[in-house]
Order: sequence, then C-alpha cells, then structure tokens
Amino acid sequence: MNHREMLIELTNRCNLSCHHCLDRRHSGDGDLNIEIFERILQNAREHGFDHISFTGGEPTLHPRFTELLTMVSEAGYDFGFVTNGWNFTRIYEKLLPHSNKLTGITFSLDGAREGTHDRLRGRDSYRRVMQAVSICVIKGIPFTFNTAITSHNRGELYEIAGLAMKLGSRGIRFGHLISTPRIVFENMDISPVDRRQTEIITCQLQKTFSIPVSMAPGYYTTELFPCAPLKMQEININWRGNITMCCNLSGHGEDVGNDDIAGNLSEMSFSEAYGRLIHINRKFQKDKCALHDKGNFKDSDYFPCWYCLNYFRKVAWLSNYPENPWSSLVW
Amino acid sequence: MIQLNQHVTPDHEVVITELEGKEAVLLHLGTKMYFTLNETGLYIWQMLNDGLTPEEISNRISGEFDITPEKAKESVLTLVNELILEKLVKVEDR
Ligand SMILES: C[S@@+](CC[C@H](N)C(=O)[O-])C[C@H]1O[C@@H](n2cnc3c(N)ncnc32)[C@H](O)[C@@H]1O
Ligand code: SF4
Ligand code: SF4
Repeated sequence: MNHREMLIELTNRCNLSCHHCLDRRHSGDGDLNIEIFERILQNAREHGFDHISFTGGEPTLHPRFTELLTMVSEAGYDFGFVTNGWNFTRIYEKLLPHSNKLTGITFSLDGAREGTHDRLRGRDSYRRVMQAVSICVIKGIPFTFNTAITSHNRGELYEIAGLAMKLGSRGIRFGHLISTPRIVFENMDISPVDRRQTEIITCQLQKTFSIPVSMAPGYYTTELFPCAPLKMQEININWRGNITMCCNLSGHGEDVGNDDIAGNLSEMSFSEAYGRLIHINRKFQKDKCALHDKGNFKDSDYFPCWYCLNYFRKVAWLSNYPENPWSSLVW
Repeated sequence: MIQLNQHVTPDHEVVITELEGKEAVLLHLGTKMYFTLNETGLYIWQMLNDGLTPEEISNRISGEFDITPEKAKESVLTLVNELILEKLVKVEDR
C-alpha cells in the first residue's frame, strides 16, 4: 500500500495574524478534541495512513500539544508539522524524545529579508524563525521552509532559496497564494502570467541550488490530478474534526461552498467519513475529466488549486473585485 | 588586536538563541553563519551586551571562578577576537 498522509489542523488559534492567511485559519475558535484525535490514531492506519503532518492555526498552540506528540509516536505514526516558529524555543525539548518518529519541521519563511517576512507576518517573526532553525541545527532536528509567493517577495525567490541553503534547511517549497479578500485588498496576489513567471524562476532555482527546491501543488500543469489529495494519498482533518478534501480548501469561512467536507468524526466513524471522501474525490475526478474532455477548460483552470477553489465554490466572492487579475476567471 | 579596555558590543544583526541557559547559538543575519557559545562564552556575551569591557569581564570571571587573572584575560580576549572576526560584535570607538 502507498504511504498516506493526514494533515491535521490542531487548532485555528494563532499568535500571529499574517496578512495572507485565511481568516478562519487563525480566528481563534477552538482546538481539535483529544478524543477525536485518539480515534483518528486508532482507525487511520487500516486505511494506509502512516504519516501525520500537524498544521493549524499554529499547531504548537494546541493546549495538549506535548501529549499529542506522545500519542502519535506511541501509536507508531511518523509525524512532522508546519509552524511559524514563534514558540519553538519553548517547545523543542518536547520533541526530542520523539526524534525517531519526527520526519521534519517546516518553518514558514515569507521573505529572505527581515522586513519582507515581517511585513507579512508581524514584527519579530523573522527573528523567531531564525532562533528556531538555530536550535534545529544544534539539536540535529531536520527542517525545511515553506514560502507563499506574494507580490512582496516574488523578487526575492533566489535569495530565499540561498538563505534556506545557508541555514542548513533540507529544502524549500514555494507555493502560490490561495485568494482571500485581504489578499485582494492589499494587492498581495500576482496575475496568472506572473505566477507562471515565478514557476520558471523556481525551475531555474532547482538547477542552481544543491538543496531540493520545489513548488507546492497549484502550479500550472496539464496533469489533471497532480497532487496528493487528488491521488487519495493525503487527507485533511480540520480542528472541528471534519475530514475534508484538502487544507487549501479549508478555513474559507461560512459563506462559501462546503462540499469538500466529507463528515465529522464526532458524528461518524473514521471509516465512514473516509468512505464519503472517496466518493467526493471520485465525483470530482469524473467532473474534471468531463469538463476537460469537452474542451471547456480555461487556461487558468490548469492551475489545479484554482480549479478546485472554483469547483468547491470558495472564490465566488472574487467576482466582486473586477480590478483583480483573477476576478474575470471565476467560474 | 582588541585592547582590554575597549568597548565591544553585539552586532544588531545577530540573533541569539539560548539553550537551557547552558549554551547559545549566535546567527548573523548578514553572513548567515552560526556560532556556538558554551556556558562561559554565553556569560561573556551577556556581559558584553551589558556594556562591560573585556577587562571588566576578565576581572569578574577571575573573581567568580578559580582562575588566574592572566588566564581569564586570555580566555576573554580569545573569544572576543573570534567574535570580531565573525562580525558578531562591533568594536566601539568611544
Ligand atoms: C495556515 S499555516 C499553519 C501553520 C503555521 N501557523 C504557519 O504559519 O506555518 C500553513 C501554511 O500555509 C501558508 N498560507 C497561509 N495562508 C495562505 C494563503 N492564503 N495561500 C497560500 N498559503 C497560505 C502559510 O504561509 C504556512 O506556510
Ligand atoms: S499563516 Fe500560520 S502563523 Fe500566520 S496567521 Fe495563519 S496560521 Fe497563523
Ligand atoms: S486545492 Fe485541489 S489541486 Fe490544490 S492541492 Fe488541494 S486538492 Fe490538490
């Protein structure tokens, strides 16, 4: 059986309020219930899941984060997490007993320069990331970086990759933005043409640097099912205990479609919710193939996350912003 | 070579991370180089940060620990010179 991964949003609380973040990813409503978490650990393995990646909100803020780590490693799952790094000096010691199960930590780095990163993430957040990676280097904890490409940092991609390499990162992953109203207001997003330009640059960086440089799913491709969620190798579980299709579709608020949600683990078993997700996925695949085969794809639909955002009705609001380069591309 | 009575202050581009108060890592944001400090090194760094000269630091160390003033001066100067070389501190001309 293939390796399968669960992305688990431990909380939607966060100590930061990054300009690009989806509102409901850091609106502070709550944390994942620990009994639900326990059931996930008990039942996911029989469906081939062997790796957990914690996200949020800020996952390290889950009030029982240390306990969750012990549960995960005792249940035999490998794990990692993505973090803003702010709390790392406080929590890193709790990771050390589980280092044989920890596959790595991903720090969000949104600029090579302090000013660029902090402009998006808030004062001192860059230095906190630097403190976190200093600890990783000394303690031998593997780490990588994630960078959301914005209009502010698109000129720094080379520098960001260089910084990641010098700091001892095992890799750097760039990703396109998922639109939010704030991103639109603050002109943080870049046009489809400019996105493709950044993809070309990323390809060049792959050849330039000795560490892996990659792009998160969402880049332009004619492959219809290019990512782990669409290949059913990855699922998302949000802090409310819902199994959902993908983290990129999560946290968009109440006024959007919610067909990406398969079921809540306080109301049904893991197997049932997972079975529903398989149905959602099959229907999605069928619909996407049909639209494509009929020749009804717009060029922008080859950005797969953009396709999903439309399919699952997450970006209808964008058509109210005609000056935005993506507005006219909404279905 | 640094003089014992010169003021040497941490560069503002240096991020310090203390680990369990027993050691620390310095990271220079410009050069992107890491530098580790042991417990004594960290103590010396903290005193530099408080504005003490290498001489004052040496005196304090030889008073607090069982080492001769010469040995203390030598240790402090060795570290301070390394820190200067790595651009982690700046020599003040006051
Ligand atoms: C939602 S955060 C959660 C983990 C943690 N709080 C952090 O910032 O690393 C996960 C990743 O999503 C990225 N992200 C946030 N909002 C985004 C958006 N609108 N589009 C693309 N990526 C986004 C963040 O930069 C971060 O790397
Ligand atoms: S991107 Fe991460 S750190 Fe920033 S507000 Fe969102 S959840 Fe918090
Ligand atoms: S939004 Fe769609 S295309 Fe993008 S990663 Fe998620 S499932 Fe894949």
